[in-house]
Amino acid sequence: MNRHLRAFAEALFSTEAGPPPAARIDWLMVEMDDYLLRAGPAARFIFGLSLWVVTLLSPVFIRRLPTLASLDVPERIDALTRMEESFASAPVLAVKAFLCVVYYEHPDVQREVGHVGHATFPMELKS
Amino acid sequence: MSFHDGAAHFGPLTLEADVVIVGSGAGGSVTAAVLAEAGKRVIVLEEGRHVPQAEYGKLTPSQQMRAMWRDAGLTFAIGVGDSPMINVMMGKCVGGSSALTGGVCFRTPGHVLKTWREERGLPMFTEEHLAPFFEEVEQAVHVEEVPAHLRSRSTVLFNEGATKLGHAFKPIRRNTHGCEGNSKCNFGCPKAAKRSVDLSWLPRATAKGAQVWTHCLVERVTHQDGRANGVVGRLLNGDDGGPGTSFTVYAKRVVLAAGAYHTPLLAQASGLGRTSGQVGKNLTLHPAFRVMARFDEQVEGWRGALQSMYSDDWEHDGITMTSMFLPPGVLAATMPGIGPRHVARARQMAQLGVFGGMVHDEGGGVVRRSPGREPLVTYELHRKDKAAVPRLMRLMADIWFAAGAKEVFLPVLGLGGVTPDRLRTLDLEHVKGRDLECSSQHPLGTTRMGSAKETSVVDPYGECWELPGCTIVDGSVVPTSLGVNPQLTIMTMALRIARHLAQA
Repeated sequence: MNRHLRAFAEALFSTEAGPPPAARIDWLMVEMDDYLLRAGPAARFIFGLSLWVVTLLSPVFIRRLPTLASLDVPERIDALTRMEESFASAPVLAVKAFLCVVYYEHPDVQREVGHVGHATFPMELKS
Repeated sequence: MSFHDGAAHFGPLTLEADVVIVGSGAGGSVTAAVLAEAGKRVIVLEEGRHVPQAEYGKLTPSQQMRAMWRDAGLTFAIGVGDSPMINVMMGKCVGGSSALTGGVCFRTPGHVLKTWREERGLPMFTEEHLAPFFEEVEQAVHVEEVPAHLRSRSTVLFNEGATKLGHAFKPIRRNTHGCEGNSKCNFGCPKAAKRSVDLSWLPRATAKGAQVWTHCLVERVTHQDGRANGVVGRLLNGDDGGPGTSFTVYAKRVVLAAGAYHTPLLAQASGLGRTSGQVGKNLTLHPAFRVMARFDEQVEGWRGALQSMYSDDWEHDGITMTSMFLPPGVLAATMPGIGPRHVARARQMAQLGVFGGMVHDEGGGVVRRSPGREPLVTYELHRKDKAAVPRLMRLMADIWFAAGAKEVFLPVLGLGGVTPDRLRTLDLEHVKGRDLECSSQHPLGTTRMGSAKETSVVDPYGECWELPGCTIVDGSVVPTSLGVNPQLTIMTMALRIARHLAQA
């Protein structure tokens, strides 16, 4: 799942200059693993199902074959954009929401978006 | 020592007390304090962990959700018919949802109490009868009006727009003391300014000897000769924090305060509800919707109190509007687009204002047992409630535009930014329920209070009709939807019940 989630994240948070730094995506993947571990089975199932649907279906929107991770980043952006604007937007929005909640807490990202509210990251969660 | 961690305990556990309380949220903590101060030996059992304020005050929103929210904030009510999927946020920690609220405190509205008296057979619920209880709770948790200087720019702008259109907004009251306007109430106040029950009522209980056991999953209430005599369950000391060894608590009085999702599960598992058939039914949620707006100016809505103003001008339409704000990740999640288009939008988040509206729902949900530990919850929006949603969206959008917003973001999945011209052409009245973005922080009513055992689960003092010795004190006993934030009502009803138990 991690490879497909990473592929989605690289596309979602790309700027004109390309995907975010790899270290930032590494951090995001670690945090997402922790998040999913703490979410309940139902939430994990919905998230996993949404990611699976996006991974397989989004390439079809640009007439390519699965999977999303097999596309280069500009193609992924195109595929996800088309799926987000389609009748089948729900799985894209679900995965996107989940990623955003964590990604925008990274101190560098907070600086980039001008949010100086309450960033105290990184801090390790006690189990 | 007052706090014990069930996850760190090896082997079975047996305890004895005068009163065992299941849940340490608003209802459970108030009851624990009153009964411990009355000299009772009190044990509080909490499924979640104890995260001291000094620790949770440093967490980011998503970390706090992971550490203190049930299912890391991903609990849902499944929409039935033309209803949205609703994200229902609840605490699973010492302090319960009280640690996660915006701190908003409303007394139970008079017209709601009238409904309780006239339609639910509860004549004792008058404003006069409840006033001393409300006063005591308000003093204990330091309820105060949010001063104007703590209003965020987002709230100020919305208020300006509302004033231009002739609508009245009023200051909100919250349980705070020394608030500095960090806008982080929902994610653990970093300054301990929000007087949630883990900082107000529960310390009173532990000071008088109450014991709090965390990581204890109560599975059912036990009884003997027709009277409750304790609870049994599992300590969460198993693999990966799952259920491990068993525990038993013997007590003369069992108090359930696990919230409107889990109290009915416990009641069902304990064989309650057969007479009325009402256990798990009548769930109300106050479905809530946020409307955001983009301005040319820097709003920086995270500076100031998270919630500071409200309006009940539309109460007759079943709508209450309250100020709010969202953490950056949640703001960004609502921004349309993928890649550069999304990032460009996200970088405008400092220009966003946010306001919320909730529906005083007549619809209802059902909490059912499922194979896992969590319930299966369904919710059907009543036709009248559904009709309130487009009205709410248009009202709030109009107010934002009157305040000078360039575009608004409505809680409709995939809609994107809406200009004034586009708003006029949108058919919001026919948006499908499944396309609405909806959340709730106020689950209520699933073991409701009433005057007859055929139509309710507990009597006017919270005692289960079918099981003497077992009392319920959380939001699940609230007889109807309130239309306002419920924490003050829950604490007040718990105080009234606890005083009764202390005298018994």
